[in-house]
Amino acid sequence: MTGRLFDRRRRPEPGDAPRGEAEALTLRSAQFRRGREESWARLQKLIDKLDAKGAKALDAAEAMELPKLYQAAVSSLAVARNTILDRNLVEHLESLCLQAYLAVYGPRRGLGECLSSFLRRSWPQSVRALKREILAAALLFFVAAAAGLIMVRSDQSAYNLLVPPEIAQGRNYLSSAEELSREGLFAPWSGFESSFIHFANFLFRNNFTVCLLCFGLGVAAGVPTALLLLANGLTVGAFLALHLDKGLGLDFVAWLSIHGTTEITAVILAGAAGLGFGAKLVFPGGRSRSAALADYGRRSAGLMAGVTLLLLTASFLESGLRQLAASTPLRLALGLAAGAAWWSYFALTGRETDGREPDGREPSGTEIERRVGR
Amino acid sequence: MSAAKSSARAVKAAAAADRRRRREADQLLKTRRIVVSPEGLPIKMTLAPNGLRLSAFLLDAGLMLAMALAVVLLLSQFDLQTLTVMTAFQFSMFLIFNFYFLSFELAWQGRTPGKKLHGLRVVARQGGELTVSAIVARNLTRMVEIYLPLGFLARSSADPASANPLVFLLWGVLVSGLPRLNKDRRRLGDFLGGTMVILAPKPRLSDDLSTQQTRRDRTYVFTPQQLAIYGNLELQILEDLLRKADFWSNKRQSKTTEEALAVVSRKICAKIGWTEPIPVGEVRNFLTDFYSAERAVLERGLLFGRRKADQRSEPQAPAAPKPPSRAGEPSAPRRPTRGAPRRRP
Repeated sequence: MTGRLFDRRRRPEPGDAPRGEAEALTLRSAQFRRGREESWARLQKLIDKLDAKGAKALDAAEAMELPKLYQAAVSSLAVARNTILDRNLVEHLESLCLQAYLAVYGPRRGLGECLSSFLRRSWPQSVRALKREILAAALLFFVAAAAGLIMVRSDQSAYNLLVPPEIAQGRNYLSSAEELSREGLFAPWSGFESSFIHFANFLFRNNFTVCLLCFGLGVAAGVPTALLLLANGLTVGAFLALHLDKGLGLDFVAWLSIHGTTEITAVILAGAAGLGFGAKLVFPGGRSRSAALADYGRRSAGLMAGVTLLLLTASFLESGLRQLAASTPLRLALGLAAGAAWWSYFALTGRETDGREPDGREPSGTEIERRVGR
Repeated sequence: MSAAKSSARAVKAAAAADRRRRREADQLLKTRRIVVSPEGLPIKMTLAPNGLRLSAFLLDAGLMLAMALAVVLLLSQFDLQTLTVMTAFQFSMFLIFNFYFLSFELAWQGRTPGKKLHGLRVVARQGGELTVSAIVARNLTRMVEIYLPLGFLARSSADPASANPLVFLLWGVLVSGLPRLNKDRRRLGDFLGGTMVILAPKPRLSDDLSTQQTRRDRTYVFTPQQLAIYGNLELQILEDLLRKADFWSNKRQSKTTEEALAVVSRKICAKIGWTEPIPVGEVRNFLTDFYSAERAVLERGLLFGRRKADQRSEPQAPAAPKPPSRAGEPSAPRRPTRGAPRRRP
């Protein structure tokens, strides 16, 4: 004990009997450590196991043990910070408690649970939360489409300006209505491998990239996002003008709608997310910019995951099903049904949890207050 | 007047040490973040340095390329000309480059191989659970942060930004400079996810130095007067020195370590008035004993509420009790908006 230190005033002489272990100076803090070391090591082992193999690695007994060990370590740390001067020990406890804190209060939901709550709640919820932005994005897209339509109908040379050659693929005012119909709208199905694997893949990757850009470029106050939406709208409008002029208007609308109701929905959602990103950046509202962005980011994460799902569907509709269903009424019916299904899903699902956190928890105001750093 | 001179020098040195300590405390304050656990204990986190994050990113990028290469090697077994193999190739590249970070961070709770190697970790900025949506959100921007500046996507003429490589360069500089421009060192994705990257290295526990003395015959014993001179700061410097000596003596650099230890022990002897000469082989033992005895005294002081920060300060009784802020909090932080620096100097 420390007290004994002061009794040993006499310096040991060379002739003295060697001091045994019992007589050696034992610090209170060393004793403290000796009594708890084992449980810290055990905690470390459980954390390592958890980190290596995920939450399912712990059996029931271990899962019960973890919080207890964590609490013991936390109380050790509280004592150590105030009474122990062994820096190595205190730093070890600091980092052990940090790891344990992250493990104990870490992710508590499996991926499956997240997926179900995503489909039942957070996706449609995040779509509803972005009503204004969706309206703006849709307006941009459709106004641009109308503009493209009017421009090309009044002046055919505008078509080549508005439709990039790799999208036009030879379809322009020089081609006859019969060519457009045979090689474009009612081109024969190219076979399973070419359509459902190759082409679908290409479409998905391409559209995914565009949508991710639509969202990410929102960081520049949403201006590039708006430009992307406008450009896409103009192209669609120009295409419509071409087919209208060749007397294929309804066929074209049907051809576009079978996948377009899904794909354009995805583009508009991604665009809306990008516009909202820009808006939150410029006008964070009453909160700090970073709090507003963090909140927005959590919601748009669900939205963008949903966009991925939409694009996946759209790519299959476009690559294969469109050419398989080679009749205008059938295409129109399928397209309208898909569009109606998506939008009613967005409008109706998970309404009862509106206003909660995107992952279904109560709003985390208390968490914000709890943080010392705010 | 040499006494006056030397005292002036001492004052100067003390001021310099003070400045240094304040600078260190400032640095700590800048990188230290505190989250109060539900148990009421402030958990300390240290922001990851930008250099480490860059290095982790480069490692991850290297791993992505290695994975891509592996796919290429695997597919080269087949006829690359067929549509299906080509598609498989393109799709695997797409998956690797778009979902590498996302899937690792989801599977390993905010760590990628590069981060894990450097002891880095993504955490929710407000503490608590790192949600799936936070991880997804922080990875949504990789496209505009990595691939857009790299010009990978410059092919699309529908992309308005693809016109000028300078735009990409500027964009890249802006995006990669963002962590330097905000206090939490967050990149764009961290803002959306409400996350930050911290240092969470694997905890390592070395031996308690004070227990090493029991392994030999002779113990040095010091008087209370001799132990009343130094404070916590000096004790910790001595601890660092002894641990370094342990480390280096294993690496066969014992000569320089022995010398360093000898210098320090001479200084200590002069300061505390220890007259008995210390044999060359005993220096280590002497310092260890002094460390243990000094720690015993200082820790005893702590138990009774007397904290002696360093050799120049008088033992401090705890300040008059303030309104209790939170149970278990060791001290009222100087600036309540951020973590207080360590009470240790």
